Amino acid sequence: MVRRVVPGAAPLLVSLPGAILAIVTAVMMLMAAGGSHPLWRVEPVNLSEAAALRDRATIVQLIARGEDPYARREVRANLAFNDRFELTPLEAGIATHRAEIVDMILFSARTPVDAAAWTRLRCLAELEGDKDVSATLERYRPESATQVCDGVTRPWH
Amino acid sequence: MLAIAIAYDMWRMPIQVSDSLQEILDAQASTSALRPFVSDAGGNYYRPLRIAQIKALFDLSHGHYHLAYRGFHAALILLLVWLFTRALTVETGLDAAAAIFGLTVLTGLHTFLAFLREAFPINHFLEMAVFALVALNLSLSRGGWWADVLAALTFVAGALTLESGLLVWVVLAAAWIAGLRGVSTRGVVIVTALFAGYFLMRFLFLHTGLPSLTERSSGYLFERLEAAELQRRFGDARAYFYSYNVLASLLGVLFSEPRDGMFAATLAWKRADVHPFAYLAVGSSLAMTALIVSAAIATWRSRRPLDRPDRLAIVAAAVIVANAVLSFSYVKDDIITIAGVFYALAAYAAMRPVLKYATSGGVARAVVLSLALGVLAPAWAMRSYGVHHVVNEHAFRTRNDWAWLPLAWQRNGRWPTDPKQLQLIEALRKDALESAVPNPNLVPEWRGLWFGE
Repeated sequence: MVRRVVPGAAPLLVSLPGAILAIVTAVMMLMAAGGSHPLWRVEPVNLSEAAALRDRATIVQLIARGEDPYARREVRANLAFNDRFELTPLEAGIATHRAEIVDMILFSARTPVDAAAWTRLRCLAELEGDKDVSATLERYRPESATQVCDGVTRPWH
Repeated sequence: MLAIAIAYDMWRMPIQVSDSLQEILDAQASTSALRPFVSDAGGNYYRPLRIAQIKALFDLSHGHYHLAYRGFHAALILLLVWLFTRALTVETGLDAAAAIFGLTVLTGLHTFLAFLREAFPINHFLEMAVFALVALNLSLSRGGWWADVLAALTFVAGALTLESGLLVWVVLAAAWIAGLRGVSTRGVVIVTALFAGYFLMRFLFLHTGLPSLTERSSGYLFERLEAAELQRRFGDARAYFYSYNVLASLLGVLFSEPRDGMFAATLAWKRADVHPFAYLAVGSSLAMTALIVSAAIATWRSRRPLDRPDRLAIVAAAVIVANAVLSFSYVKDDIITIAGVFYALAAYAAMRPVLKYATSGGVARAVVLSLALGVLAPAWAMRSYGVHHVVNEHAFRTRNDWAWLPLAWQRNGRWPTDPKQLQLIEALRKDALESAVPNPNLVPEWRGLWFGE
């Protein structure tokens, strides 16, 4: 019995992974036909979460749809941080040290950032010691902005 | 099914920005698809059919750019896998097992990713691999005047699109030498004359040169050297640098290391920071190449008459070496993609005698080989599955590139003022931004560790 079965194991072991792969991809394609391909499933995120997750395209898309880039939203726990926070998209960009995200939001916003909000963001970047984000914010500095950071604390940590 | 799933991935990927948008804008501005044939002379390349194809697809799209460019890309993937499968001989259960395994090697090898990650906006390396497989299938056919004509046309189309198209000649010549005479002696002579004609036209008539050292950066041992550094180090020792490139290309196909000319996995190992995908890639390639070499030596020693898969392996060896030689000016995984396809053919050809050997001896031999193959085959299947993850990652990056484009181009003064160009960019950008692409930062970390980027 063993002498008959064992020699057949090699071709089986060589073809089985490929066959399983074919079955898995067939199931994926069936799911795709139903609109829910497991590898192309998009997790819905809000603007602050998109910023925390470095999703520039979704940021642009949501702002174009009229979302307020200066409003606070929930960033769910275990997405970019261990805990849940209420952050604006710009705060999320600063918290994750992504200068290009801060740049993208300020570039795409329909209204420029006001002086008070800018000052607060600039102070947060200073608190984080992030020179890139600070330099990016300087590009968008409103004329009347100051840099008085008294009482500014990070809404994360 | 593997091909359909990968073609689907391609369909979901937005058209890319870098190396692609400018080509599409040029196609919009161009008056005719035939124009590149008279204007593309000079410089270091002669690739008129490349630009002509981009223009032809642009005109045919009638505004459905994604359908035209990504549809063409997806169709090429299907064609590649179909032509690959068609070249395999499947008459027994062992053949079928080897063929299934060969497909996982084809789609799992890192060079295959170069067919998917980028398009310019057509992936011409993929096109060249399709042409090479067309040539192989013609050589495997029963032949006739039509096979000779198709072989000549395939060579001309390939050579006028990319330099890699010259490998069509290598396939036809090696197949003829190996005894695959679907393309007749007359056909091979005609293609050889065209091959010689290409060099005469390029170097004597059009005076098209060769790529210089200062054109692009390149991997060298453990670092990436910028063009100026390449010129400084190898300006007086080009032969040494070119030899390194050929060797690095060859090793890259056979062992998945170096990648793009750089020994990245070795460097990671020296720094004790090796990711699982590096072990998976290098380990499976090392074992596969060892198996191919062992099978070749065993076949050579047995003195048995060569069968069709043996001849395929001979062609594969010739193409792998020729492709490495063609990569002399700089090393990039994209350039050795054709070698990657033929490596998979060699893997199929090698697996057949190994399976025969495993099934025709005693229990001990069967157990040992089954255990070894039982590790090798899942490793390649896993590499093949990882392709989907890598395409996901690139789709995310590409979509983000479109978001970033106005900011980047406006700042560096590239943003066009022509309303027609702006309309085209907006259409492509809207298409990309509206595409549903998952964020790789939300997928489990193990996927990145095992499948790479």
